Amino acid sequence: MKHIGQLIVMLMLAYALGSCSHDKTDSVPPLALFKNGDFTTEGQRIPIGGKLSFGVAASAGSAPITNLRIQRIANGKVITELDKGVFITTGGLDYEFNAVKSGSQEEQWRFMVMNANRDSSIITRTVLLGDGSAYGPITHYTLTLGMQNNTLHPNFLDLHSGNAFSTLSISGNEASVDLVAFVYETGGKLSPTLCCPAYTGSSSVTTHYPEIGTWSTRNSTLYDYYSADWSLVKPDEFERAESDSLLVASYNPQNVSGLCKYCYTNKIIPFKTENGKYGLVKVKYADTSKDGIIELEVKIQQ
Amino acid sequence: MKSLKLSFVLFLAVTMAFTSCDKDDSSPKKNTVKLGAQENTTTGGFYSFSEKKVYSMELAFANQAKIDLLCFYEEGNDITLASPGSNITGIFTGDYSVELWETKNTTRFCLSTLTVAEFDAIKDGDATIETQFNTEQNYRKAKLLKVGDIYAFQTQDARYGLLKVNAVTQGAAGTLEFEYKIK
Repeated sequence: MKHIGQLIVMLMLAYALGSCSHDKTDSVPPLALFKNGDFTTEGQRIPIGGKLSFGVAASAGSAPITNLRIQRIANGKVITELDKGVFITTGGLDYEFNAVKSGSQEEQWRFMVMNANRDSSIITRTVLLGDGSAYGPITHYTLTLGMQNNTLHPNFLDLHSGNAFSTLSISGNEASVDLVAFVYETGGKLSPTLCCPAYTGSSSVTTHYPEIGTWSTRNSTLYDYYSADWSLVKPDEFERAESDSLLVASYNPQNVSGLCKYCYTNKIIPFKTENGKYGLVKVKYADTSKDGIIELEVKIQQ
Repeated sequence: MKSLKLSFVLFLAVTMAFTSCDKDDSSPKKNTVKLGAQENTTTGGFYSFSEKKVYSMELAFANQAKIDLLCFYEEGNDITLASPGSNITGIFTGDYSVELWETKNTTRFCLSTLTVAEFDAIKDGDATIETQFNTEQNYRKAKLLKVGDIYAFQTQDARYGLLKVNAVTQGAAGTLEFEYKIK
């Protein structure tokens, strides 16, 4: 008789476990859409050097959005212009991306949004080559920044205007800062380094400038370290650049980072700012001490 | 004694099994609305997005600044969504008629190309909601509504939304049921 009681309890246990509902298997993929507004339209003709502007919005589906990848497909080549990790749980993705038209007759721009379930949504836009060229004017300036322990020179640079801010004058100007410089030891060498407020990788910018951690807007600047390491932009080319043609052509998005090491004297580094402006920065002089300076010559699209 | 212990252990296991069942259905609550046309006496025909509430015409009259949508029927347009600022005349009558209102919010509509599956993938507050509103071509009425239609809209206070028609009953006493997402 007592075994019957145990049997009943065991049956109840089996039923209870078996009836637990975990069968919500519907996985809703993300949904990416082009935004309305003043953006490049499907089939639009843009001359070489002309501005491309894309607005992408995405809903997450049944898992947070974790990745945005932007690729340009031109002349049979796939160039990854941006591969950005994100973690968006509410409100979806809202992203604007600027670039410059290449000389290719036709470019397809592919925007892929992926969520944590690895479900993805891809939208594309085709841009055609227009007549003439639209290379634009540049801003050109030279300035000196202090490394992280230098309080005699400003440390925070707005690449667009050339305005530089010290720790005393930065308040209210944080959102305009694109570049900072510091020295740290890497690979057994003291490295003068260019970085940006958004950089969070190894040797994060906040290690050297802790105050940046409190900024509400932290701009990203991507440096083409490959072109810098291999000196692909020659000093005489840099000197001659009077339009943004060289600035655009020399930036290769395949090997870029928010941190650029080994910025020794005479290095020339292509870069792209958060709002899509291309530029070149030439290191005219760089100290290798934390209280030293770095002198930069900058050419950037207006 | 031994079997008593065993029974007790099994009892505990059953209790845990029941209490640990996962009931956390995380799907968001849907915004569903049912509006009545001008002669419907049981279902209100006016809606406020800010209040998430359906109003009769009399109550809407007292809350004019909150009203974003109204539903009416007329031949040729069938069941239609509009707003107090849509300049609808000859439909609503009496002391509370929209024509007599002092505050008339305007909501504008345009047909969306989204599929139902795409609409369902969007959540309240998503940036995608705004993408569907055509700033060049939009209208003060969404007419000839039928099940499955998806409209983008913009309210007087510049909120963007999407709505999907779930059910339509034609006639001056008819009804309209829809689900919406808003940003």
